[in-house]
Amino acid sequence: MIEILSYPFMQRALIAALLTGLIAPAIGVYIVQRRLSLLGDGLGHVALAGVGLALLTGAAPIPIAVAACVAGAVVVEILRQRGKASGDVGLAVLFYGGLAAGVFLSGISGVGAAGLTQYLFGSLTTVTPSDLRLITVLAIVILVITLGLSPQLYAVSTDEEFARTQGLGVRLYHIAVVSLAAITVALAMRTVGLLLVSALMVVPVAAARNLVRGFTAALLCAVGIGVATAVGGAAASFYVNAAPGAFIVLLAIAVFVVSWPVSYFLRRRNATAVLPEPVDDDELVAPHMITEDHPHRHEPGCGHPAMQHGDHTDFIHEGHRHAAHADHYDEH
Amino acid sequence: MLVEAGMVLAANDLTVERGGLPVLRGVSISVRAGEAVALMGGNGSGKSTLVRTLLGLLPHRRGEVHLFGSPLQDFRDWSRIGYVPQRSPALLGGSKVKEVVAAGRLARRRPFRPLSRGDRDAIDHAIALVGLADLVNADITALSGGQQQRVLVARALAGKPDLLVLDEPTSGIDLEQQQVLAGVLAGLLAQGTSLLVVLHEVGPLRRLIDRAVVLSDGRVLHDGPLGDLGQHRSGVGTHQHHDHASQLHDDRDHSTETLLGGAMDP
Repeated sequence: MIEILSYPFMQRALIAALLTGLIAPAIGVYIVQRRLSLLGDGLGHVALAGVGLALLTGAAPIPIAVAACVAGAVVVEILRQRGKASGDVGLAVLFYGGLAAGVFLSGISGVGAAGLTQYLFGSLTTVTPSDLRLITVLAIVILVITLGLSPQLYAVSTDEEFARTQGLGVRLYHIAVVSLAAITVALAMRTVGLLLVSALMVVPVAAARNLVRGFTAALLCAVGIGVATAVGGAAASFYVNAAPGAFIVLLAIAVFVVSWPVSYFLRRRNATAVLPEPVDDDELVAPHMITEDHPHRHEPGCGHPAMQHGDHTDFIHEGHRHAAHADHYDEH
Repeated sequence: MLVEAGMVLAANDLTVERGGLPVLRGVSISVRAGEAVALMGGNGSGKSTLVRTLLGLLPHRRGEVHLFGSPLQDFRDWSRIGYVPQRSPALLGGSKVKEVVAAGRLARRRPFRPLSRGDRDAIDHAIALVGLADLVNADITALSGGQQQRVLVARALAGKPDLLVLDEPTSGIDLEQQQVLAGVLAGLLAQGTSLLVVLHEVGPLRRLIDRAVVLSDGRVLHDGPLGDLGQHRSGVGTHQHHDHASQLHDDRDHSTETLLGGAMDP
């Protein structure tokens, strides 16, 4: 494990992976909260147009990809805010347009579409010192904003209307979130790659939500998972000589898969911890779907035995079971 | 329109269209300082649309809204308003009770500043006020519907607003929970907070209400004392096109006209 640190390119690659692992879940948590999990995938396609342009002009690919990706993200967001991105069609046109432009530009530059592979799935040997400087600066900007504006971004991503009644400039915050996501996607092309970066934005967040309770805890936990899987995946790919993106994403998914039974266990423990006295089932009530006005509020410790039922808790009440559902109780 | 002194909310001649169809037609409504106004009407009468227009969440085609004496487009003092929506995506999960309520402090917070001592106290106080002090760290999805509704009330109260706007806070909540809510609102009124409450039926909030504005088909049908409104339960529920819980009817329903009597504008 130590010898890989003796190669300068590997040092740069691991630092780039560390930074990507930090920022991808930090911005991803807001993307997931806003239910835009697939946004990063589309932005990766747009970034490819920037890569194609860089290959054609001989410029460094990351800065141009960042610019293309941010421009694409802002256009998508403004179309969405004006209600003009009817359905998903507008997004699809932009995203596949970006992909096609990337392949086209790389073709006429003489590199060919095969030359794009290293950007799609990451490539450890390609992180230049100037790439690393740019990644470091932009990662700091992203972390400062995603952590410093966390209360505002949380509110805007969670309940937009309420955020507006708090006087927040919701449109500007939305544009900030998608722009930061776009920068993250473009920066990640050297490590996880443009096609897989979306997974690093979403999967650690999904795993963290299973493991911890609350938004802030999930944010921190997701960043931890992101760093561990990005660095671990990059290091592993050195030994196997495969694209690092694949390792990073497979590791993240492995954490997610493990988080399922853990979350089930945690919830089960919480539910059974409140089991009180036995049931009096003298009066069996004929089952029906929704209870009438129910004067009693069921909660852990309310006096009715609780039992886990699938994804929720039933309370045993006069011989039948009540399950809280939105604003009423269902009979189970 | 002249904005009277002491008006916390005043809207004049509001017309709102959604999808090209008029939802509100020339609606005027006002709330004075310390007043509790109920906004009532049947399903589809435009209650929620009106409330959301008053808060600037929906655009209006005609008319004007003043909040605390400022035209809506110039209004910046959002900490004076607490909004309790009927439902919120914040209840879908991923948040603790405390985190949802903390969003109610944002009008008073500056970017890049951590929660101040005052913010923390206000959040804790708001949660305690609605009786959820034991559940501050609970996952929002672990709560019952009534408890979730109270989280939304606490979120609106965390900013210590002068006007609380609640959209059907009692719908689908059992009587006991409604009484808890009535107690919380009574305490706020006693401190001088103004209330605008959308109600489907009056219920335990009756004793708090100073005035009722009744909407029907996008127009104001009644603006005055609650009086007999909502007490004639017997005449209700016989019309199949109405929700069984509805106590007020739209203008196709002649029993409403009799019910409202002379209070109705010709």
